[in-house]
Amino acid sequence: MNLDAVKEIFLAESEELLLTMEDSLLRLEKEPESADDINSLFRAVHTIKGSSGMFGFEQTVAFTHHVENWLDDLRSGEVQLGTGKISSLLKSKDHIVELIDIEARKAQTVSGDLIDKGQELVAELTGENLGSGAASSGGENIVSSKSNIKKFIIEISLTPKILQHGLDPLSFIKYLGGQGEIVLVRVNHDSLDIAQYDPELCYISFYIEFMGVLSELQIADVFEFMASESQISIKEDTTYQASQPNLGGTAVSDVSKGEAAKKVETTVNETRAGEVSKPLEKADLAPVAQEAHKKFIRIEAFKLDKLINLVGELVISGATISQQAEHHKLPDIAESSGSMIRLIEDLRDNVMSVRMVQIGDTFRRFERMVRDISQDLGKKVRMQVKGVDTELDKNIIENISDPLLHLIRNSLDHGIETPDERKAAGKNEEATIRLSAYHDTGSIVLEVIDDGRGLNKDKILKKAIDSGLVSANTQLTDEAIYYLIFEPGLSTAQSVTNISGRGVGMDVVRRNIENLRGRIDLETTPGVGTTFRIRLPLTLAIIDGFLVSVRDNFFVIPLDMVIECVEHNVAHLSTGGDFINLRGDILSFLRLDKFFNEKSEPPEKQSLIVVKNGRSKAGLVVDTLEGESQTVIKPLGRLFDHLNGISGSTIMGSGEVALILDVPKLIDAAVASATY
Amino acid sequence: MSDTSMQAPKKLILPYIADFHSQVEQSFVDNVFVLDFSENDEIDTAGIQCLLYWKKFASGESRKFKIINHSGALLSALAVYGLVGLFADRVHLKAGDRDQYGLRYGLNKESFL
Repeated sequence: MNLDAVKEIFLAESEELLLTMEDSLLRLEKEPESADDINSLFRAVHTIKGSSGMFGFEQTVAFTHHVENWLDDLRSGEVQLGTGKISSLLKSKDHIVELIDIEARKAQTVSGDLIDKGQELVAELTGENLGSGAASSGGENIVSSKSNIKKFIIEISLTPKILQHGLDPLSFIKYLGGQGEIVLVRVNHDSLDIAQYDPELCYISFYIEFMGVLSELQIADVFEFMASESQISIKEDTTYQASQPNLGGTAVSDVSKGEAAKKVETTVNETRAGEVSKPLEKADLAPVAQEAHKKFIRIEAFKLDKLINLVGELVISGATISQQAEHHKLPDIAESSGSMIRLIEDLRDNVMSVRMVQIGDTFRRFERMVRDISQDLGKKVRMQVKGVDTELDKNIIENISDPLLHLIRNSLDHGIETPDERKAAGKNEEATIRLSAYHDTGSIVLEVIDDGRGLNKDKILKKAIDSGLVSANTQLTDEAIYYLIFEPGLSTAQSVTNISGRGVGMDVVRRNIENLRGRIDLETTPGVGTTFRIRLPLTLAIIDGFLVSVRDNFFVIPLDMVIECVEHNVAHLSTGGDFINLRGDILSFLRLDKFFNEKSEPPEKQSLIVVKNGRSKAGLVVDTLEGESQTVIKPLGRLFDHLNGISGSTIMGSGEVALILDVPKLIDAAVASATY
Repeated sequence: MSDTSMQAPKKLILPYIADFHSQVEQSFVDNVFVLDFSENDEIDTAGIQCLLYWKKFASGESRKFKIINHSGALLSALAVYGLVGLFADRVHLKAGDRDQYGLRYGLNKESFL
């Protein structure tokens, strides 16, 4: 691990903590007394400040220090949390994001303007005017604002590889110096063996005398990042009479003179295990994060992608061996390859599960947006989320955020009425936007539901005619009219706003979803509301497929979309239109040979595969059923973008290519072409 | 008594420490070895530890390992670790440097032996 890697961890953790901060604030807006949320808020800011200090991100430390102090006062009941303060804290959170971006991600110096902005935010939050330069040093302010100064003896021994792992004790000790005063550091170099010295290993240890207002737990926090690479003992020096040094030039008036404080020895590990029981103080909050770290490890996304690719290749190789064994009639090999394939399947399922990420974090990101936009628009909106623990492939999660964002913005801007309009319509002044996620027949369904005014059919149609999308005399069903909103360039908004853009979004939303092998549907009732329903595949990498052939061509149908297979002869299927009576139900079907322009004669007997997508069903006519197969999805590339009815490709055990059918599109085509 | 001098690298930090150590090893052939820090602008614990090693080595062999033209980075690290007295080199401090580097401890001369 190098320093960049440690910084990456810091960035990832900060991102999570800032999300936690935002979540807590949004909950506190509804329940201002929630002690859990106040503590969680404090913990997030406290940890960001501590970690930023390790890396010397001075402005982040300085700003978070002020926010932390105010939150400390909030915890002790000295200040109150009103709506104005929630907004100030949300702005403070945004400011921290900006500071971290500049200091940590871009390694740049924070501009004077941004420092001024921070001071304005602190003034807004605390009511204190900091003046220029006041936010320059968190450490000094800690000392000057508190008076309970203690002296500590800190002894640190280090693992030999600590330096190689990107951790430099010098940074941590320097940071400690910013939190009070280091009275003495002694470097013990007894272990520095002249005969056996490796310059990259660490041989030294430290004895430090430190004075400040930190508790031993807060000091342990300073060294939290190197806790796994060191043994740290922190003892309070109870013989210290606090009338002595003046810390950082600040007058110390109320120190714990002669207080017979009990001697506390705390090692970092003991603290983390929660063996020291104390009232809730700033540093008591850190162990929670530490405990969580023990249960999870961070993996860079590209490593997972690489693993998935390798498993994909393994699946293909397994299929090849199995096919060869069968072809050459080698029963022993066939048996061995069978058990190997079962293991590969297990491996595949486990690896795939590692990529699954809960949708909750994505949903939570929208809460702040709904709050801010609804306030800007003067609307009252409550956001509800359901199914936050529903898991989706991480690649899908990353790509679904923008379409969801656009749908929510559209609902807020155009769907939801103003409180007056809602009142006049006999509705609750407060509107609701519901986000939900759930599993449905091998797919994930995401819904954005609002209880707004619904889509205006007449307005959509007029706009479509005006823009030449449909001709004036075209007869369209209500549903077809509503779906026109997904066509490029159609916007019914009375005014262009910066909330939902310029009406170029819904077609992009649809395209983005289709790129994920998903589809979007809508239901709307005038005056009642609109539901956008996105149906997505569980994964983009490997699926269980059903292999079929049409003449010399192989196709894969995602297995979870297959209902049943029915054998029919051509003559029977040819009578009448492209539909059959399947046990009393009318079922449209599509001949794949005809659809893909296969000119050669079909065999006498063909099979009909009944497939479904959500509530839609259709039949696909194929020549031969080859059976189930694990399918590693390979993208076709842009050259094949225009191919209708194909969503990807895969390589079979024989080395031949099979095309993966885009079942939703084929069902639509079957329904559209059926003549009843 | 003859001297050998060498320029300390701009960055005396972990990634370059093995090279630096090996260069000193090859160059430290005389009784006195002088390391010039005028071009240095970064040092970490690995760098400080390497200097400690050579100081200790020289003391053990009754030879001298001297540092001259202390850079700000070196001075700052020596100040934090309280090692100015241990190295016992002449440090040229300008007015205010003592406060800037927080030279409050570890200033008395010490011996390795």
